[in-house]
Formats: sequence, structure tokens, C-alpha cells
Amino acid sequence: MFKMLLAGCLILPVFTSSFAAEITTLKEDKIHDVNGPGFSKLQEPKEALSGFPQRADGTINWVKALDQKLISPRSNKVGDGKMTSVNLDLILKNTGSMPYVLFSHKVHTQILTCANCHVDIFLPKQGSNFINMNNIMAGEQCGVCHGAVAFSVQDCTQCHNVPSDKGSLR
Amino acid sequence: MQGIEIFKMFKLVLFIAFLFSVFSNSFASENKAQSIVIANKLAHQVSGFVETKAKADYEKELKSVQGLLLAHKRITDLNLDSDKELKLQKLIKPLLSQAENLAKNYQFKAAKSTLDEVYLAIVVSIKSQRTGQTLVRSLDFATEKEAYEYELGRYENYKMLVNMMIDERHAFKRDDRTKPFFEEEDRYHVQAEVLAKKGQYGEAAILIEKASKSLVNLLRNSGIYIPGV
Repeated sequence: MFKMLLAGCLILPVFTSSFAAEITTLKEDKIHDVNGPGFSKLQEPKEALSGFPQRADGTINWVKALDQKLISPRSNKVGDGKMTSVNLDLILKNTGSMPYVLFSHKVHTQILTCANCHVDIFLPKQGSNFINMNNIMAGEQCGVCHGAVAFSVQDCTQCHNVPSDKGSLR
Repeated sequence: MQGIEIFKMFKLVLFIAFLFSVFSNSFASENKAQSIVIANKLAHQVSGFVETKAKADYEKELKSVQGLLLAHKRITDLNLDSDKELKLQKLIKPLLSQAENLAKNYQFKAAKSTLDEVYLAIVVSIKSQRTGQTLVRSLDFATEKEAYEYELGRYENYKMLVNMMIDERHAFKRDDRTKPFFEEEDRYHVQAEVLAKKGQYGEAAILIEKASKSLVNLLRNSGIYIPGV
């Protein structure tokens, strides 16, 4: 079975399109030097990721890939650190008229290390992360991954999946 | 260790330059001097890059450790479990001092490795206190103005979505059916802006939420699925 060693956030810059139905080629990703002497030796992401489970929007289903042992996430580049998953769910309530958001630390920390998100993207502090869809769609906050390498924001219910008990709008 | 590595690298580059100049066809002293100057520059660039990267990695890890330490303190305070905090402090204090000393001596790589141990200890402790929990979180707005601006962002997001559906996706048009929705959201939006200008951000936030709701209703009425109430 093809086994890919995934270095947490390191793979993030590989794809650049916001609703990544198609995996961007190395030539088009605006990251790699196409004139570099080693360019021809690099493996295309499409080839590396062929056979990986996909979601309806064409992005890789990393959770399934992990379940199927297609990936072995590393906590750092050299792989000498330890992955520590944390089973802690957060329900985020400031969602307007939308259902609340359920954030599963477990799902995320099986693939990423805490340092990938804390503290540069999210402060590990209650009530201090003012997440909004504008930022996400601009590639910030959740949008650093979602819409880039993880499922896009087009399907609201992927995240907004806890019925709200709102009497009022907020 | 870092310093030694850099010095070794510097010596290696100089040695290569020396060999190159000795065995090359040209033995002119001018060429030799040029090679050494180039090698010198190269060595400085390499060592500078290595050191800068190691320092940045160390500083990033330190920031993460500091953030998680604060989170750990909050959790133990909340759980009234000062023993856990003391136990962690006892474990990480010598490691933090060690990391600090290493960093003072420009041994950033070793300092970062030490911080990795601290980091893991904090995460393990947090994990032991949080595992299996489901926490409900709301934002803490410092002022009503902040709450209004957050709601205004949501309104603008819906507005953007509506414009995208009309202009790019051609999902619906501005016609007699959609007109009442646009008028309603515009009315609420204008009223909210007026109140915000007067500094009445609490009332303005409620109105801008209503404007957002009008846009959601417009989208739903146009056949676009938006979950929620």
C-alpha cells in the first residue's frame, strides 16, 4: 500500500486554488522554481495523492486517508517528535442565524500538531478568536487549510452542524 | 553546538576554495584571492541563514509554549486543581531555564529541542484534564462597538454571497420577487449605520443582524440552501 509521510502543515503551500477541485501542478503553484536543476525530480502532488479518498468537492478526505493508513502524519519535518491527539470538542455559538459550529480537536490533532494552529492562527484562550467567514474565505483562520488543502467552505453543514437553540438571532 | 557547526561549515568552504585554487589551471595569486573572498562570502551567507532559521524556529516554539502555559493555568484554575499546575511547573522550570541559557549562547537548535520537551509536557497535562469534554464557547466582545463590527462583517459576507450569486452564478436576478428583500435589508442597514454613527452600537448590532437575516431569507427564497433558523 502506498504510504505517504505527511509533514503536518508543510504540505499546505502545495495547492493554491481556493476551491481546490483540481490539484495544482508544481509548475502552476507559484512556489517551486521551474528553472531549478532539481525541478524535474520533484513528484507531482497529483501523482503522490492518486488513490487517496476524495470528498465531493475534489479535495482529499484526510480523515479517511488517515483511517486507511495512507498517511502517517509527523509532528515535525524530521519526524522525531510525537503526535499527541487531544479529544476535546468545542461548540462555537457566535454563528448568527446559522447552526453552531462543532470543532473537533481530535480530528484535527490526529493530522496536525497543536503548534500548527496555536498560537499563530488561534489563541488557546476562551472567547478570543473572532472567527468569521470573510477571514476564512480570504485564507485566514480555518481558511489556512479549508479551501486550500482541506474541504472547502461551500458546504456549510460540514462545520455548522449543531442545531442552535436560539430564541433570538444571536 | 550550533556555533561549532557553523565554524565547521565555514572551515569546509574555505578548504574547498583552497583546493579549488590549488588544483585549478590557474595558479595566479589574484584568482586564489578571489576564490577565498567568494568562499568567505558564501560561508557567511550559509551560516547566517542557518542561524536565522534556527532562531526563528526557537522563537516560534517559545511563543507556542507561552500560549499553552497560559491555557494550562486557566484550566487548572477552573478545575481548582493547583496540584496539576505545581507538578507541571516543577517539571518544566529546569527545562525552560536550560532552553533560555542555550538560546543566550546562540545554540538555538538545542534550545528548541528542549522547548519541544516542555511543549509535550504541557500538551499531555492539558490532555489529561480535557479529554472527552465538550465545551461551549462564545466570543468575549470588549465593547458593543466590537460586537457591532463583528455582525457588520457577517452582513458583508452575506452581501458578498448574494452579489456572487447574481453576478457570477446568475442564480437569480434583482427583480420584483427579490426587490422586497433588498429593500428590507437596505432599510435595516441604513438604520444600523445611523445608530452606529451616534455611538449606539448595541441597537445597531441588532439591526445589522436583521439586515443579515433579510439576505439569508433572500437566498433561501431563491432556492439556495442556507442552514439554520
